[in-house]
Amino acid sequence: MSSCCTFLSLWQISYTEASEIPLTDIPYQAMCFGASKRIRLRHLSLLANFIFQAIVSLRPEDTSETLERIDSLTGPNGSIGDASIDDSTSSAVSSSFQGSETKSVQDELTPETSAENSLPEKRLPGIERAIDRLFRFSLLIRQPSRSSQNVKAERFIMKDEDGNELNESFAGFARQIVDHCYPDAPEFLRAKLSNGIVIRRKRFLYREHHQKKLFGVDTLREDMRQDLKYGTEIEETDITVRASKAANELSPVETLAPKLLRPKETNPSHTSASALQNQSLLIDTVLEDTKSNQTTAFTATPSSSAPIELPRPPKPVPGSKEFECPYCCLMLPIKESRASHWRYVITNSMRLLSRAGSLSPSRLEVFCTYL
Amino acid sequence: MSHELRIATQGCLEQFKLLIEISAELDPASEDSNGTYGTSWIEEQCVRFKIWAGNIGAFAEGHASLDYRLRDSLSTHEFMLHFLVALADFIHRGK
Repeated sequence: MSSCCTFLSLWQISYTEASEIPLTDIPYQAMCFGASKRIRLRHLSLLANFIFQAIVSLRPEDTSETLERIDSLTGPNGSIGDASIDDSTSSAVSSSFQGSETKSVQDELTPETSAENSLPEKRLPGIERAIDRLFRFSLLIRQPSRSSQNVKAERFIMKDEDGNELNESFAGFARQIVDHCYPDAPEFLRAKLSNGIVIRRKRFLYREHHQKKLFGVDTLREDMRQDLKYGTEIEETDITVRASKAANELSPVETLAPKLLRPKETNPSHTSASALQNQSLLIDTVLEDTKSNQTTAFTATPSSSAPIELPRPPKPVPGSKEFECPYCCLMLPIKESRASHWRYVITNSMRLLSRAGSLSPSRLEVFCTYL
Repeated sequence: MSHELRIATQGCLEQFKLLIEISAELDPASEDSNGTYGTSWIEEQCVRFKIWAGNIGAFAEGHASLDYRLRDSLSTHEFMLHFLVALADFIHRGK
Protein backbone atom coordinates (compact mmCIF):
# COMPACT_ATOMS: atom_id res chain seq x y z
CA MET A 1 0.00 0.00 0.00
CA SER A 2 2.90 2.34 0.57
CA SER A 3 3.76 2.15 -3.10
CA CYS A 4 0.15 3.05 -3.94
CA CYS A 5 0.36 6.13 -1.74
CA THR A 6 3.65 7.06 -3.31
CA PHE A 7 2.22 6.86 -6.79
CA LEU A 8 -0.88 8.75 -5.74
CA SER A 9 1.18 11.54 -4.28
CA LEU A 10 3.39 11.67 -7.36
CA TRP A 11 0.35 11.80 -9.52
CA GLN A 12 -1.09 14.61 -7.43
CA ILE A 13 2.08 16.64 -7.64
CA SER A 14 2.45 16.26 -11.38
CA TYR A 15 -1.18 17.05 -11.96
CA THR A 16 -1.29 20.16 -9.83
CA GLU A 17 1.94 21.41 -11.30
CA ALA A 18 0.65 20.97 -14.79
CA SER A 19 -2.81 22.40 -14.56
CA GLU A 20 -3.21 23.91 -11.09
CA ILE A 21 -6.67 22.41 -10.85
CA PRO A 22 -7.86 20.90 -7.58
CA LEU A 23 -7.27 17.18 -7.44
CA THR A 24 -10.82 16.26 -6.55
CA ASP A 25 -12.23 17.51 -9.82
CA ILE A 26 -9.55 16.34 -12.16
CA PRO A 27 -11.39 14.42 -14.88
CA TYR A 28 -14.51 16.51 -14.76
CA GLN A 29 -12.81 19.92 -14.81
CA ALA A 30 -10.31 18.85 -17.37
CA MET A 31 -13.08 17.96 -19.75
CA CYS A 32 -15.59 20.65 -18.89
CA PHE A 33 -13.34 23.64 -18.66
CA GLY A 34 -11.62 22.93 -21.93
CA ALA A 35 -8.21 21.94 -20.72
CA SER A 36 -5.85 21.29 -23.50
CA LYS A 37 -5.79 17.89 -25.13
CA ARG A 38 -2.12 17.43 -24.28
CA ILE A 39 -2.72 17.88 -20.54
CA ARG A 40 -5.66 15.50 -20.60
CA LEU A 41 -3.67 12.86 -22.37
CA ARG A 42 -0.86 13.23 -19.88
CA HIS A 43 -3.24 12.88 -17.00
CA LEU A 44 -4.86 9.85 -18.52
CA SER A 45 -1.51 8.16 -19.03
CA LEU A 46 -0.52 9.01 -15.47
CA LEU A 47 -3.79 7.64 -14.20
CA ALA A 48 -3.35 4.44 -16.21
CA ASN A 49 0.19 4.13 -14.94
CA PHE A 50 -1.00 4.64 -11.39
CA ILE A 51 -3.68 1.97 -11.73
CA PHE A 52 -1.18 -0.45 -13.27
CA GLN A 53 1.38 0.13 -10.54
CA ALA A 54 -1.32 -0.20 -7.90
CA ILE A 55 -2.34 -3.58 -9.34
CA VAL A 56 1.28 -4.69 -9.51
CA SER A 57 1.92 -3.53 -5.97
CA LEU A 58 -1.06 -5.54 -4.75
CA ARG A 59 -0.01 -8.80 -6.42
CA PRO A 60 -0.18 -11.90 -4.20
CA GLU A 61 3.54 -12.07 -3.51
CA ASP A 62 3.42 -8.93 -1.43
CA THR A 63 0.36 -9.72 0.55
CA SER A 64 0.81 -9.83 4.26
CA GLU A 65 0.17 -13.56 4.34
CA THR A 66 2.99 -14.33 1.93
CA LEU A 67 5.34 -11.98 3.69
CA GLU A 68 4.57 -13.62 6.98
CA ARG A 69 5.22 -17.01 5.47
CA ILE A 70 8.54 -15.89 4.05
CA ASP A 71 9.49 -14.23 7.31
CA SER A 72 8.74 -17.45 9.16
CA LEU A 73 11.22 -19.24 6.94
CA THR A 74 13.75 -16.47 6.82
CA GLY A 75 15.93 -15.07 9.47
CA PRO A 76 16.17 -11.53 10.76
CA ASN A 77 18.39 -10.51 7.89
CA GLY A 78 16.32 -12.35 5.35
CA SER A 79 18.34 -15.53 5.14
CA ILE A 80 16.12 -18.54 4.81
CA GLY A 81 15.69 -20.63 7.89
CA ASP A 82 17.84 -18.58 10.18
CA ALA A 83 15.02 -17.93 12.60
CA SER A 84 15.40 -21.27 14.28
CA ILE A 85 19.14 -21.28 14.59
CA ASP A 86 20.89 -21.09 17.86
CA ASP A 87 22.79 -17.85 17.96
CA SER A 88 25.74 -19.32 19.71
CA THR A 89 26.40 -21.78 16.93
CA SER A 90 29.37 -20.92 14.83
CA SER A 91 29.71 -22.14 11.33
CA ALA A 92 31.67 -21.90 8.18
CA VAL A 93 29.25 -20.27 5.85
CA SER A 94 30.64 -21.73 2.72
CA SER A 95 33.69 -23.10 1.08
CA SER A 96 36.49 -20.79 0.30
CA PHE A 97 36.05 -21.49 -3.38
CA GLN A 98 32.94 -19.42 -3.44
CA GLY A 99 34.62 -16.58 -1.78
CA SER A 100 32.77 -16.52 1.49
CA GLU A 101 34.49 -16.75 4.78
CA THR A 102 33.97 -18.41 8.09
CA LYS A 103 31.92 -16.36 10.47
CA SER A 104 29.64 -16.98 13.33
CA VAL A 105 25.89 -17.08 13.02
CA GLN A 106 25.82 -14.36 15.64
CA ASP A 107 27.35 -12.05 13.08
CA GLU A 108 24.86 -13.19 10.50
CA LEU A 109 21.95 -12.47 12.78
CA THR A 110 23.09 -9.09 13.98
CA PRO A 111 20.28 -6.62 13.32
CA GLU A 112 21.22 -4.20 10.64
CA THR A 113 19.63 -1.28 9.01
CA SER A 114 17.26 -1.87 6.15
CA ALA A 115 19.60 -0.07 3.79
CA GLU A 116 22.39 -2.52 4.57
CA ASN A 117 20.05 -5.48 4.24
CA SER A 118 19.03 -4.35 0.84
CA LEU A 119 22.55 -4.84 -0.48
CA PRO A 120 22.90 -7.95 -2.63
CA GLU A 121 26.04 -8.91 -0.69
CA LYS A 122 23.86 -9.29 2.38
CA ARG A 123 21.12 -11.26 0.68
CA LEU A 124 23.02 -13.51 -1.69
CA PRO A 125 24.76 -15.65 0.96
CA GLY A 126 21.31 -16.65 2.12
CA ILE A 127 20.76 -18.37 -1.22
CA GLU A 128 23.81 -20.55 -0.66
CA ARG A 129 22.68 -21.48 2.83
CA ALA A 130 19.18 -22.21 1.56
CA ILE A 131 20.56 -24.63 -1.02
CA ASP A 132 22.68 -26.26 1.69
CA ARG A 133 19.51 -26.80 3.65
CA LEU A 134 17.76 -28.23 0.63
CA PHE A 135 20.53 -30.80 0.32
CA ARG A 136 20.23 -31.71 3.99
CA PHE A 137 16.47 -31.87 3.64
CA SER A 138 16.75 -34.22 0.68
CA LEU A 139 19.03 -36.50 2.69
CA LEU A 140 16.47 -36.53 5.45
CA ILE A 141 13.67 -37.31 3.04
CA ARG A 142 15.43 -40.03 1.12
CA GLN A 143 17.00 -41.72 4.14
CA PRO A 144 19.57 -43.49 1.98
CA SER A 145 20.53 -46.08 4.56
CA ARG A 146 21.07 -49.79 4.28
CA SER A 147 18.52 -50.42 7.01
CA SER A 148 15.73 -48.66 5.12
CA GLN A 149 16.60 -50.69 2.04
CA ASN A 150 16.40 -53.84 4.08
CA VAL A 151 12.95 -52.94 5.32
CA LYS A 152 11.80 -52.60 1.74
CA ALA A 153 13.59 -55.79 0.77
CA GLU A 154 11.73 -57.75 3.41
CA ARG A 155 8.47 -56.81 1.75
CA PHE A 156 9.76 -58.01 -1.62
CA ILE A 157 7.74 -60.79 -3.21
CA MET A 158 9.87 -63.47 -4.77
CA LYS A 159 8.51 -64.85 -8.00
CA ASP A 160 9.56 -67.60 -10.31
CA GLU A 161 9.85 -67.34 -14.08
CA ASP A 162 6.14 -67.97 -14.49
CA GLY A 163 5.22 -65.22 -12.06
CA ASN A 164 4.16 -67.46 -9.19
CA GLU A 165 4.89 -66.28 -5.67
CA LEU A 166 7.70 -68.16 -3.99
CA ASN A 167 7.76 -66.68 -0.51
CA GLU A 168 6.01 -69.53 1.25
CA SER A 169 7.59 -72.34 -0.72
CA PHE A 170 11.08 -70.88 -0.40
CA ALA A 171 10.61 -70.48 3.36
CA GLY A 172 9.56 -74.13 3.59
CA PHE A 173 12.53 -75.17 1.46
CA ALA A 174 14.94 -73.19 3.64
CA ARG A 175 13.49 -74.77 6.76
CA GLN A 176 13.95 -78.25 5.29
CA ILE A 177 17.58 -77.49 4.46
CA VAL A 178 18.27 -76.21 7.97
CA ASP A 179 16.52 -79.18 9.56
CA HIS A 180 18.56 -81.51 7.41
CA CYS A 181 21.89 -79.80 8.16
CA TYR A 182 21.34 -79.16 11.85
CA PRO A 183 18.94 -81.80 13.19
CA ASP A 184 20.21 -81.46 16.74
CA ALA A 185 19.98 -77.69 16.99
CA PRO A 186 17.26 -76.09 19.14
CA GLU A 187 14.00 -75.25 17.44
CA PHE A 188 14.26 -71.48 17.83
CA LEU A 189 17.75 -71.47 16.31
CA ARG A 190 16.61 -73.46 13.32
CA ALA A 191 13.66 -71.12 12.82
CA LYS A 192 15.91 -68.10 13.13
CA LEU A 193 18.42 -69.49 10.65
CA SER A 194 15.82 -70.42 8.05
CA ASN A 195 14.17 -67.05 8.45
CA GLY A 196 17.55 -65.40 7.96
CA ILE A 197 18.12 -67.35 4.74
CA VAL A 198 14.76 -66.18 3.40
CA ILE A 199 15.42 -62.55 4.30
CA ARG A 200 18.88 -62.65 2.78
CA ARG A 201 17.49 -64.10 -0.41
CA LYS A 202 14.83 -61.40 -0.55
CA ARG A 203 17.40 -58.65 -0.07
CA PHE A 204 19.54 -60.03 -2.84
CA LEU A 205 16.62 -60.28 -5.26
CA TYR A 206 15.32 -56.85 -4.27
CA ARG A 207 18.66 -55.18 -4.95
CA GLU A 208 19.03 -57.02 -8.24
CA HIS A 209 15.55 -55.89 -9.24
CA HIS A 210 16.30 -52.33 -8.14
CA GLN A 211 19.55 -52.17 -10.11
CA LYS A 212 17.72 -53.31 -13.21
CA LYS A 213 15.22 -50.53 -12.74
CA LEU A 214 17.99 -48.00 -12.16
CA PHE A 215 19.62 -48.95 -15.44
CA GLY A 216 16.33 -48.45 -17.23
CA VAL A 217 15.58 -52.08 -17.97
CA ASP A 218 11.89 -52.44 -18.35
CA THR A 219 11.24 -55.35 -16.04
CA LEU A 220 7.60 -55.60 -17.06
CA ARG A 221 8.59 -55.94 -20.70
CA GLU A 222 11.18 -58.50 -19.73
CA ASP A 223 8.54 -60.48 -17.90
CA MET A 224 6.31 -60.36 -20.95
CA ARG A 225 9.19 -61.46 -23.11
CA GLN A 226 9.77 -64.39 -20.81
CA ASP A 227 6.10 -65.25 -21.09
CA LEU A 228 6.33 -65.20 -24.85
CA LYS A 229 9.45 -67.36 -24.74
CA TYR A 230 7.42 -70.21 -23.34
CA GLY A 231 4.56 -69.65 -25.79
CA THR A 232 4.27 -71.21 -29.20
CA GLU A 233 6.16 -69.75 -32.10
CA ILE A 234 3.01 -69.57 -34.21
CA GLU A 235 1.32 -67.25 -31.73
CA GLU A 236 4.33 -64.95 -31.65
CA THR A 237 4.48 -64.63 -35.41
CA ASP A 238 0.78 -63.94 -35.53
CA ILE A 239 0.88 -61.21 -32.92
CA THR A 240 4.16 -59.44 -33.41
CA VAL A 241 4.64 -57.86 -36.79
CA ARG A 242 7.91 -56.04 -36.94
CA ALA A 243 9.13 -53.97 -39.83
CA SER A 244 12.31 -55.40 -41.25
CA LYS A 245 15.10 -52.92 -41.71
CA ALA A 246 16.91 -52.83 -45.00
CA ALA A 247 20.63 -53.34 -44.77
CA ASN A 248 21.75 -49.94 -46.07
CA GLU A 249 18.65 -48.01 -45.15
CA LEU A 250 19.07 -45.13 -42.72
CA SER A 251 16.31 -43.64 -40.67
CA PRO A 252 15.39 -39.99 -41.37
CA VAL A 253 16.89 -38.96 -38.04
CA GLU A 254 20.19 -40.64 -38.87
CA THR A 255 20.37 -38.96 -42.25
CA LEU A 256 19.44 -35.50 -41.03
CA ALA A 257 21.54 -35.30 -37.89
CA PRO A 258 25.23 -36.08 -37.88
CA LYS A 259 26.40 -38.61 -35.37
CA LEU A 260 28.21 -36.16 -33.14
CA LEU A 261 25.19 -33.92 -32.74
CA ARG A 262 22.82 -36.67 -31.77
CA PRO A 263 22.29 -36.92 -28.05
CA LYS A 264 23.08 -40.21 -26.43
CA GLU A 265 19.90 -42.14 -25.89
CA THR A 266 19.38 -43.26 -22.36
CA ASN A 267 16.53 -45.19 -20.95
CA PRO A 268 14.75 -43.42 -18.15
CA SER A 269 14.95 -45.02 -14.77
CA HIS A 270 11.94 -47.11 -13.86
CA THR A 271 12.44 -46.73 -10.16
CA SER A 272 9.69 -45.38 -8.02
CA ALA A 273 10.47 -42.83 -5.34
CA SER A 274 9.89 -44.32 -1.94
CA ALA A 275 7.08 -42.57 -0.16
CA LEU A 276 8.04 -40.67 2.93
CA GLN A 277 6.05 -42.04 5.80
CA ASN A 278 3.85 -39.61 7.65
CA GLN A 279 6.20 -39.10 10.54
CA SER A 280 7.72 -36.11 12.18
CA LEU A 281 10.99 -35.19 10.57
CA LEU A 282 13.76 -33.49 12.45
CA ILE A 283 13.39 -30.22 10.60
CA ASP A 284 15.73 -28.50 13.04
CA THR A 285 18.61 -30.58 11.75
CA VAL A 286 17.87 -29.31 8.26
CA LEU A 287 17.89 -25.71 9.39
CA GLU A 288 21.12 -26.01 11.35
CA ASP A 289 23.69 -23.73 9.86
CA THR A 290 26.58 -26.12 9.42
CA LYS A 291 29.52 -26.00 7.12
CA SER A 292 28.64 -25.94 3.46
CA ASN A 293 29.42 -29.46 2.31
CA GLN A 294 29.70 -29.21 -1.41
CA THR A 295 30.65 -31.78 -3.97
CA THR A 296 34.21 -32.10 -5.17
CA ALA A 297 33.20 -30.53 -8.46
CA PHE A 298 33.04 -27.25 -6.59
CA THR A 299 35.57 -27.71 -3.86
CA ALA A 300 38.41 -29.62 -5.51
CA THR A 301 39.71 -26.75 -7.52
CA PRO A 302 43.40 -26.05 -7.96
CA SER A 303 43.05 -22.65 -6.39
CA SER A 304 41.35 -22.61 -3.05
CA SER A 305 40.78 -18.91 -2.78
CA ALA A 306 40.81 -17.25 -6.16
CA PRO A 307 37.86 -17.68 -8.50
CA ILE A 308 38.35 -19.51 -11.78
CA GLU A 309 40.13 -17.38 -14.30
CA LEU A 310 39.17 -17.85 -17.88
CA PRO A 311 41.30 -16.86 -20.84
CA ARG A 312 40.20 -13.49 -22.10
CA PRO A 313 38.08 -13.38 -25.23
CA PRO A 314 39.88 -12.37 -28.43
CA LYS A 315 39.57 -8.78 -29.53
CA PRO A 316 37.25 -8.72 -32.50
CA VAL A 317 37.95 -6.63 -35.56
CA PRO A 318 36.15 -3.29 -35.22
CA GLY A 319 32.94 -3.26 -37.19
CA SER A 320 32.74 -7.01 -37.68
CA LYS A 321 29.74 -8.95 -36.45
CA GLU A 322 31.61 -12.21 -35.95
CA PHE A 323 34.89 -13.41 -34.54
CA GLU A 324 36.79 -16.67 -34.66
CA CYS A 325 37.14 -18.52 -31.42
CA PRO A 326 40.84 -19.40 -31.07
CA TYR A 327 39.99 -22.61 -29.22
CA CYS A 328 37.22 -24.23 -31.23
CA CYS A 329 37.96 -22.32 -34.48
CA LEU A 330 34.30 -21.59 -35.01
CA MET A 331 32.94 -18.30 -36.25
CA LEU A 332 30.83 -16.93 -33.45
CA PRO A 333 28.61 -13.86 -33.24
CA ILE A 334 30.17 -10.88 -31.55
CA LYS A 335 27.87 -11.15 -28.55
CA GLU A 336 29.59 -14.40 -27.57
CA SER A 337 32.72 -12.46 -26.71
CA ARG A 338 30.93 -10.77 -23.86
CA ALA A 339 31.89 -11.92 -20.41
CA SER A 340 28.52 -13.50 -19.71
CA HIS A 341 28.69 -15.69 -22.83
CA TRP A 342 32.43 -16.24 -23.00
CA ARG A 343 32.46 -18.66 -20.09
CA TYR A 344 29.98 -20.91 -21.87
CA VAL A 345 31.93 -20.70 -25.14
CA ILE A 346 35.15 -21.72 -23.41
CA THR A 347 33.66 -24.68 -21.57
CA ASN A 348 31.83 -25.81 -24.68
CA SER A 349 35.02 -25.56 -26.73
CA MET A 350 36.84 -27.71 -24.24
CA ARG A 351 34.12 -30.31 -24.33
CA LEU A 352 34.03 -30.45 -28.11
CA LEU A 353 37.79 -30.60 -28.51
CA SER A 354 38.27 -33.26 -25.89
CA ARG A 355 35.54 -35.40 -27.46
CA ALA A 356 36.89 -35.03 -30.96
CA GLY A 357 40.39 -35.88 -29.75
CA SER A 358 41.88 -32.93 -31.57
CA LEU A 359 43.03 -31.09 -28.49
CA SER A 360 46.71 -30.49 -28.97
CA PRO A 361 48.95 -30.97 -25.94
CA SER A 362 49.73 -27.28 -25.75
CA ARG A 363 46.06 -26.30 -25.80
CA LEU A 364 45.24 -29.04 -23.37
CA GLU A 365 47.82 -27.52 -21.07
CA VAL A 366 46.19 -24.12 -21.52
CA PHE A 367 42.80 -25.53 -20.66
CA CYS A 368 44.14 -27.44 -17.70
CA THR A 369 45.81 -24.29 -16.49
CA TYR A 370 42.73 -22.19 -16.76
CA LEU A 371 39.92 -24.63 -16.00
CA MET B 1 -1.09 -36.20 -8.09
CA SER B 2 -0.20 -32.56 -7.65
CA HIS B 3 2.82 -30.96 -9.27
CA GLU B 4 3.19 -28.12 -6.80
CA LEU B 5 6.78 -28.86 -5.89
CA ARG B 6 7.81 -29.19 -9.51
CA ILE B 7 6.20 -25.84 -10.31
CA ALA B 8 7.85 -24.22 -7.30
CA THR B 9 11.24 -25.66 -8.28
CA GLN B 10 10.74 -24.41 -11.80
CA GLY B 11 9.95 -20.99 -10.35
CA CYS B 12 13.23 -20.99 -8.43
CA LEU B 13 15.13 -21.95 -11.56
CA GLU B 14 13.53 -19.17 -13.55
CA GLN B 15 14.40 -16.66 -10.84
CA PHE B 16 17.98 -17.94 -10.94
CA LYS B 17 18.11 -17.45 -14.70
CA LEU B 18 16.75 -13.93 -14.37
CA LEU B 19 19.24 -13.15 -11.63
CA ILE B 20 22.11 -14.43 -13.78
CA GLU B 21 20.95 -12.36 -16.73
CA ILE B 22 20.56 -9.24 -14.64
CA SER B 23 23.89 -9.78 -12.94
CA ALA B 24 25.60 -10.27 -16.29
CA GLU B 25 23.97 -7.17 -17.72
CA LEU B 26 24.72 -4.98 -14.73
CA ASP B 27 28.27 -6.09 -14.23
CA PRO B 28 29.68 -7.73 -17.37
CA ALA B 29 33.21 -7.59 -16.00
CA SER B 30 32.34 -9.45 -12.82
CA GLU B 31 34.04 -12.64 -14.00
CA ASP B 32 37.29 -10.85 -14.41
CA SER B 33 37.08 -9.11 -11.10
CA ASN B 34 37.49 -10.68 -7.70
CA GLY B 35 33.93 -9.90 -6.69
CA THR B 36 32.59 -12.52 -4.33
CA TYR B 37 29.02 -12.52 -5.49
CA GLY B 38 29.43 -12.07 -9.20
CA THR B 39 27.73 -13.79 -12.08
CA SER B 40 29.84 -16.92 -11.79
CA TRP B 41 28.95 -17.26 -8.12
CA ILE B 42 25.24 -17.10 -8.95
CA GLU B 43 25.76 -19.58 -11.79
CA GLU B 44 27.40 -21.98 -9.38
CA GLN B 45 24.51 -21.69 -6.96
CA CYS B 46 22.14 -22.29 -9.84
CA VAL B 47 24.09 -25.43 -10.79
CA ARG B 48 23.97 -26.63 -7.20
CA PHE B 49 20.24 -26.08 -7.19
CA LYS B 50 19.92 -28.05 -10.43
CA ILE B 51 21.95 -30.90 -8.93
CA TRP B 52 19.68 -30.93 -5.92
CA ALA B 53 16.59 -30.92 -8.12
CA GLY B 54 17.98 -33.71 -10.27
CA ASN B 55 18.94 -35.87 -7.31
CA ILE B 56 15.67 -35.57 -5.48
CA GLY B 57 13.56 -35.79 -8.63
CA ALA B 58 12.01 -32.37 -8.42
CA PHE B 59 11.55 -32.27 -12.20
CA ALA B 60 10.92 -35.97 -12.62
CA GLU B 61 7.69 -37.36 -13.92
CA GLY B 62 5.37 -39.80 -12.26
CA HIS B 63 6.61 -42.11 -9.57
CA ALA B 64 10.16 -40.77 -9.63
CA SER B 65 9.07 -37.27 -8.66
CA LEU B 66 9.45 -35.43 -5.40
CA ASP B 67 5.71 -34.79 -5.35
CA TYR B 68 5.16 -38.54 -5.43
CA ARG B 69 7.71 -39.17 -2.70
CA LEU B 70 6.04 -36.72 -0.32
CA ARG B 71 2.48 -37.66 -1.16
CA ASP B 72 1.83 -39.27 2.23
CA SER B 73 3.51 -36.66 4.38
CA LEU B 74 1.49 -33.51 3.99
CA SER B 75 3.44 -31.52 6.56
CA THR B 76 6.76 -32.23 4.87
CA HIS B 77 5.22 -31.49 1.48
CA GLU B 78 3.93 -28.20 2.83
CA PHE B 79 7.27 -27.31 4.38
CA MET B 80 9.16 -28.07 1.20
CA LEU B 81 6.69 -26.05 -0.84
CA HIS B 82 6.99 -23.05 1.47
CA PHE B 83 10.75 -23.38 1.45
CA LEU B 84 10.90 -23.37 -2.34
CA VAL B 85 8.46 -20.47 -2.63
CA ALA B 86 10.47 -18.54 -0.08
CA LEU B 87 13.69 -19.35 -1.92
CA ALA B 88 12.21 -18.09 -5.19
CA ASP B 89 11.17 -14.87 -3.45
CA PHE B 90 14.57 -14.62 -1.87
CA ILE B 91 16.33 -14.97 -5.22
CA HIS B 92 13.89 -12.44 -6.60
CA ARG B 93 14.90 -10.01 -3.87
CA GLY B 94 18.53 -10.67 -4.67
CA LYS B 95 18.10 -8.71 -7.87
